[in-house]
Amino acid sequence: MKRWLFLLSFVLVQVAVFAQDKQRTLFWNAGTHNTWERDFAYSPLLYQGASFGFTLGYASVGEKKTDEVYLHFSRIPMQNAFEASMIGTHAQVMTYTFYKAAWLPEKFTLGWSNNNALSLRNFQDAQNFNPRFDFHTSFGPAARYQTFFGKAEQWRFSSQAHWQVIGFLFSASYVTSPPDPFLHEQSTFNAFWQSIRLFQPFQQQDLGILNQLFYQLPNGNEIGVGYRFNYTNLENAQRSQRSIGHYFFQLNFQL
Amino acid sequence: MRQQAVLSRLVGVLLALWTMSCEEIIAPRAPEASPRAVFEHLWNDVNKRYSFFDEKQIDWEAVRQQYSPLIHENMAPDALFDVLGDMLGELEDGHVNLLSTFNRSRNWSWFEGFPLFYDQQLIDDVYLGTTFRIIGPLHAQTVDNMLYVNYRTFERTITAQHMDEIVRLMQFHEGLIIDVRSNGGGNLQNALNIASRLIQEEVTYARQRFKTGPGRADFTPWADMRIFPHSGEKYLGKVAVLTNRRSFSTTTFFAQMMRTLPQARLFGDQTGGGGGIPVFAELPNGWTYRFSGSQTIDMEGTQLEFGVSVDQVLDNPMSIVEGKDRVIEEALEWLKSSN
Repeated sequence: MKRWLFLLSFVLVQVAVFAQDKQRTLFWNAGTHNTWERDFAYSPLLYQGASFGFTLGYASVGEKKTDEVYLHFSRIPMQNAFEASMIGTHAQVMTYTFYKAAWLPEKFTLGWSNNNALSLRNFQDAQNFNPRFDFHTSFGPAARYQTFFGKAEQWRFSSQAHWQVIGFLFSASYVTSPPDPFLHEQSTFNAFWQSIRLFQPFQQQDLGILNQLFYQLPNGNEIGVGYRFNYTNLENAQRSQRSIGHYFFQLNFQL
Repeated sequence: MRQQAVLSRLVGVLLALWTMSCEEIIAPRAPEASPRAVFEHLWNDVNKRYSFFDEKQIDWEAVRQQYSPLIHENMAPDALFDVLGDMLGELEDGHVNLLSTFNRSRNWSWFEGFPLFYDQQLIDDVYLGTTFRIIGPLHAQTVDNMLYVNYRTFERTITAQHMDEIVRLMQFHEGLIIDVRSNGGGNLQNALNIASRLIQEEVTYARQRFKTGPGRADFTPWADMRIFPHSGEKYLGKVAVLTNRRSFSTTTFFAQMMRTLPQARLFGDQTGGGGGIPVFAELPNGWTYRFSGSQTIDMEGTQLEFGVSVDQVLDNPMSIVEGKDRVIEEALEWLKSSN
């Protein structure tokens, strides 16, 4: 018991010290999601649409390192050129970690990113095996440019990008909604394990760009606007592609 | 210093402009939708994902050779539709259709040319009358102390409450007749909702596998299909199930469920089949199509695609002169004799 109390005290002290060194921000944004999606298991046609989406996030900015977590969600009605409908539901947990390096220009940081994204596609005219889905976790390098301007440097512009080609994928099967290993009897763990596919070079990738412009208020909070672009190309039993352009208004709260 | 600040802002603005509307810029172009492209897409997808080529001994390559010369770049949409519909018709599968805004292709060879042994007017006049109970999608009437239940389509949902009422009514009846003749199918869960009230223990009634790749033998391992008993009230007495050639798809699955129950007996004609679960897809010109993407076999390994046979085949079941439905009459006789 004493050992656990000591460990807990140690962790709390570390968190307190860590918090002092870092600027922590909680943020929320909302705006239109402009998207297209294509699932070759159902159709070679592009489904396009726009709707409302939002993001919750957290940033921790230190002297040498910046961590960011974004939780994106949107549910978008889409149509193809022949007015057939599909509802696309997207949920995503995206993280960035940036490091300052002495050899880099001051405004640039480099790091890595991780994306955990779920896409559900509910095709109106498909009576069976709906929705089709894919989930992927991917990793890759990320870069960021950030500059402050204005008389009191109250304006901040940042642009960051990621490109992920390492990861794994869990998706609908050749003809059905569940992956093939779930279609015959075995434990859920085994079925899940057998359903995982690793990314193959040039077959799967996830890339994105995030541009943001903020104005800092006297209390330290920020308001701003931004644009997020994400493109995903996945191939398992079938190929699926999608891209999202998210135009948003954002509030940043200093913690 | 000032120059550096200006340059920095300029870089920022350029970056922002460069990345706006990326999703529009990289959107792929629409696929080619010429008659040839549509034909090739349909033939190829069916070639890769249809599940009964071997069982039906269909040479799909020969079908391509037969229909490909009929495709011309300037052909009208209805002409293209007819060619593609006829090509799909070669599969002789009720779960294969081409759908456009102006027509729906189909192959009904599984019931066309066969007597259906089902006259709705006769059933309404003689058996259901006007006092039948309407229990959700089920029409129920007492006939010679038996409960006659007529179910027109498995697309209409059967709830636990509906089955509670059927089971309650069975306290006052000596046997149950379930008439699913000319029932074209629907949701398998409705079939399970009925069957789960007729068993005491778990029952395996069939095995199923799905296509996993483009090869003719690319399937998942066979998986058991089971009925789990309902936890509440059940009816475990005799059940007569009436089917005909137009009992298709889920109705075939239901007939197979009933065939595995020792207290059930099937009357009429074999079902029309439909043992493959239909997969839906879309062509580059916006038409949709569906095709079987799985196989189902009974416990002896016979494909349900070709129908479920009955225990008591009735060759000449309809007698208009007598004003009776011979299939129902045979079922009544069996129920009476076994009580």
